[in-house]
Amino acid sequence: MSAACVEVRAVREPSCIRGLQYRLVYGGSLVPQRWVEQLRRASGERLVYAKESWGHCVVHRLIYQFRFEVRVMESPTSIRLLHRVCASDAQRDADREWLCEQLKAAVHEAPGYAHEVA
Amino acid sequence: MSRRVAKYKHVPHGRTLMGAEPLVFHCNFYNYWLQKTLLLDESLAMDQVIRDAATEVAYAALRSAARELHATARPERVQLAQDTFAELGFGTADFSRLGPDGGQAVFPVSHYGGALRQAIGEDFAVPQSHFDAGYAAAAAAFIAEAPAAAFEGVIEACQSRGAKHGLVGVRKRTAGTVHISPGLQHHGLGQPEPIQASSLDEPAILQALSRLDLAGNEEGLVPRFGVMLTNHFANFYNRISFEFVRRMADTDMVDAAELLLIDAGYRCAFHTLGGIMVSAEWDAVVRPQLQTRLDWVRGAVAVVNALGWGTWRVTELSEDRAVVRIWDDYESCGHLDMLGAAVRPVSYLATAAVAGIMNLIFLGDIAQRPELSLAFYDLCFESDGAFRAEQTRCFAQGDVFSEIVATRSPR
Repeated sequence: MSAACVEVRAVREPSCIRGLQYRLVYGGSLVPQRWVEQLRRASGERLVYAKESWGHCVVHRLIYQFRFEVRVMESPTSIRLLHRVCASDAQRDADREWLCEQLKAAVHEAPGYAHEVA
Repeated sequence: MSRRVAKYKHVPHGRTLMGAEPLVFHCNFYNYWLQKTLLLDESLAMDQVIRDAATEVAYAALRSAARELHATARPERVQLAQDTFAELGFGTADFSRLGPDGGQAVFPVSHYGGALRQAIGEDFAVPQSHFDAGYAAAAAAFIAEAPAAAFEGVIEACQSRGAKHGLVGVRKRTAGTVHISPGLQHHGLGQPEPIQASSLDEPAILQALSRLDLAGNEEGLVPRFGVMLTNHFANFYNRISFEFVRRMADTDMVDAAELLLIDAGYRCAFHTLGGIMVSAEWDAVVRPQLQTRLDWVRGAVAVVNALGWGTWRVTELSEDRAVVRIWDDYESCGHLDMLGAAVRPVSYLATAAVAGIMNLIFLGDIAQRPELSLAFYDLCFESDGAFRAEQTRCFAQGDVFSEIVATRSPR
């Protein structure tokens, strides 16, 4: 299956009144560590990387300072996107679109996702 | 991110200090509701109390941090004041324009300016950044090596009113004074009871939560659990809450004051604890261990034990009743340290939180991941049979621990 068939949707978190938080929902599977590396390269190494252990899960945090943060592996079907307060509405729209495109290119239809174990 | 701030110190009973100042986590919704409550009656002049309380705790924290870090030169002190503000989740501040005669502080990002606005979704009628104004006054005094009450902050622009940046004018104080923060003196008495046997591994939960990065990000904000957290000064909350009760008591309104503070606490329980219970962090760390709805209560209490609010233990639990004992609840400690022994129970936030946990789980069925909307709040807290809580023992009244009993209200 080609990655082009995979759907990625940006879903606004209803609890965030200011529209800072989204989930980028995808159907298919993602190899998180590989996508993290791809994203870092695609950003020109501007993303600050941090890894957190949440019990048995490992969550990857990628931060483009003063623009956005993505948290990878919070969920097996979505990426959390947090826009920064300082980013303009236009910047947020552009960043969200860019991340959706990056995600679309990385997600495969075949199943196989699993949480990394800390 | 490299910031130079005082070290966090973990002391008995789940309390955390920065320098000598005890810290507690609270979210933008609680900060909004508490401030809204305190400012309801303008004749109480609580806005000045809020600013002065911010000056009190910030000045104490910065002075102890400077001693610890040997920050003596002006640039170091400016940076320390800015870094501490950002580290604790209050936003970003520029204090470089503060001098011996005052000046102006700039807040490109402000929790009280922006995140409170986030809590209501629209501009406020009056500026909300009293904490920033008080902190700026403290920063000016700290940088100039002047007494805490040397300056006062005046809000000139605030994000809560739509301004791009917050601006605080800092000028020499002509009237009034500032309390000296007591830090944390009365604490550590008694040994918390063992955790009751259940399916939960509470130490493992605490350890997992301790690994989360809850410091302010590059914007000086802490977006976690679906809310904006602050790692706030416990004595700030204590000072403004107790002073509110005292001023209300002058007009025989003590009962009303306490009820209002408990109501603000319900908002904290709803948004902070509710937000936690529908968060990805909860799903990863706590939820896999939960088998029954009673376990959800124990899970919530386990998380509370990571917030700096004291050591909580569930000693009795059913679907109709919960008894929670707390060692070193921050409100009692604060009362003893600031005002001495209390004549009435003072753990308003804890009382509300215990009722709130029971309401979220047994009335709201939060396990089903409802949206934390106003309608859901009403369901949880205004329905027939909603839990109400009473404080039956109080550390500030001479008990070794505080005790909160939550029961269902009559249907």
